[in-house]
Amino acid sequence: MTDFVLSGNYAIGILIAFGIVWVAWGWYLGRNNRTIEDYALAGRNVGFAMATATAMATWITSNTTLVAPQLTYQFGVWGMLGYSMAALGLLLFAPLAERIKTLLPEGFTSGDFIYTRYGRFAWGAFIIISLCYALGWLVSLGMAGGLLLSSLSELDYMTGMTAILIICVGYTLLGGLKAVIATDFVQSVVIISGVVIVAWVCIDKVGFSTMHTTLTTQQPELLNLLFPAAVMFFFNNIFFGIGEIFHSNVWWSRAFAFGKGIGKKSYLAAGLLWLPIPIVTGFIALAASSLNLIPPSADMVGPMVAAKLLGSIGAVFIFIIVFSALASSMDSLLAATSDLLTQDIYKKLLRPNAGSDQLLRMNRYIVIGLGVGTWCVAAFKLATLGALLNFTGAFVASTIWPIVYGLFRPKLNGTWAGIAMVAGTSAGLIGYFVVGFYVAALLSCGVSLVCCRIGIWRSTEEYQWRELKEEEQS
Amino acid sequence: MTWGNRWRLASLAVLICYCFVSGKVMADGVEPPDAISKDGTVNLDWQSDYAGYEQLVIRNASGERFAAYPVVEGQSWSLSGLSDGTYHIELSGGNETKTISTLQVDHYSLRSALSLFGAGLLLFGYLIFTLKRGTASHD
Repeated sequence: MTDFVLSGNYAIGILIAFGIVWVAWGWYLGRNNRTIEDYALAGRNVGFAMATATAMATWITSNTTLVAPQLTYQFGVWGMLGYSMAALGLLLFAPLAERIKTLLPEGFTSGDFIYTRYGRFAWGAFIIISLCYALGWLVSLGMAGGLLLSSLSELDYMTGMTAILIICVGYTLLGGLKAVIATDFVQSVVIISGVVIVAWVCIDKVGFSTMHTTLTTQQPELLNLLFPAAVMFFFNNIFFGIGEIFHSNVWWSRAFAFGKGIGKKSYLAAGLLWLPIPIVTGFIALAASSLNLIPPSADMVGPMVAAKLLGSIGAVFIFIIVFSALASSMDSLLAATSDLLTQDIYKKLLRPNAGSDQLLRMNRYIVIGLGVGTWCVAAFKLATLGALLNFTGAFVASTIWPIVYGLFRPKLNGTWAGIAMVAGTSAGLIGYFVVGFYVAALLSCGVSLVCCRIGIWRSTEEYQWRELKEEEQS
Repeated sequence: MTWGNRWRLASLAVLICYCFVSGKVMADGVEPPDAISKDGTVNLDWQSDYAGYEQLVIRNASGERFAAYPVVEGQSWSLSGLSDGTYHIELSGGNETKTISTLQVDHYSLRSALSLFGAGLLLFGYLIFTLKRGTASHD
């Protein structure tokens, strides 16, 4: 709890108002969805402004509003800078988005590409990794909703977690990707305005000089540029961010949904706009000791500092910003994961001849199922947000090289791509448990690269790119 | 020598070692820390008998007061940013003081951290090179 908590009734009122607005808007946007393409890919013709806003807003999430302050509180200046480097994921995905759209103009999911390019073994490994990541991220978002409410209001963790899940499942279910993109646009404006105001108040009320003096005395390692754990964390976070974006259907589905020639420009613009945001949100965590605050867990430091700085009105303000950030990511993840399960599991394995209506219906059932599944896991609150997210780093970083080589180098085959993902993930998990979360993604990516290089070196055949289009047309 | 005698001899050796080590610790007056941190962070859970205290005080090895925070009933603590050393974490209220933990911070070696940083930098450079070459060859 902070010094400035919203009353339970006030918090419930905001949640209900939010819920009604987002769900009604989702219904309005989705009322003309007739086919699975309308629902899952917004008709494949999203323009530059919407495309940039949705890419940026989706990447502003619990990562940036809760975990960036957490990592700054734990790793100091390196934590803040390291987190902002996750923008490299968006920037480096820009050329990939263009290549994806060129190779698979009618594609649906990242799983489609892996299946066609590498075959069943690599696809199996990829789907397991994707689902572990998607569930980990969904659970972390649900947890963040619960933590937000319990730190800013008199409501408990379970109420907050349940509320954000019901609202996001509601409007994603009714509106599909169109609702996700439109709400992301508004949410991104709210989030950016909000974090800038909070940082401004922090500098104005606390000041750089006070923060520096207090940190030097009480938390000296946070200002140390040779802080060992933070130095280890820096590149780990970069590869984690790149792995998240390169493999996830959240970003592939956008590459398919954006109009021709839009993907590359949008991802570049979104990356550049996103880059300073974790620095702004992380920075406020450095004011915690100056404000005589000590959080009960590191992931609550952001909301606690903001509420202390802005008082009771500020608690409402922060509540809305963080709720927008969480919703903008959760809706995207629900939509993209349901597409992946519909296309890659239901259609590919269970009902190859399913029509558009059947797929649309199944997609909606899966959105509900994902919401229920997330609630069940998040209810246990097993780890801090940062630890949970970084656990998935061991999985996703192993997919970076199979994706890059799969799109640009024809010599890597499915067996070695699959081995790279399995071996990389195993190495990352060993690093996670033996050393710490700050090495998991780095080890995973390194081992995966070695396996891919061996595969390319041993390969005698070359993949023909036209096979992708032929497979897609058939 | 029979197996029974070997076991007895081994037990005696372990006992002698234990006495030597524990005797040294007691002689130096140094108690082993409750927690060891490799990254300067530590989480302390709330316990019901902490109610009634007003401040959480952190002292360094020489007993110097280093930081103090108000106690909020029912709320745990997450400390961070501590340098190498031994810290005594106490609760104080009125005239009472209670030591709740002794923490030893021993950061990872900078050499291994920089090695990992270098490996990350190389890997990242290679990724940029691969993407640039791939994009150029398919433009």
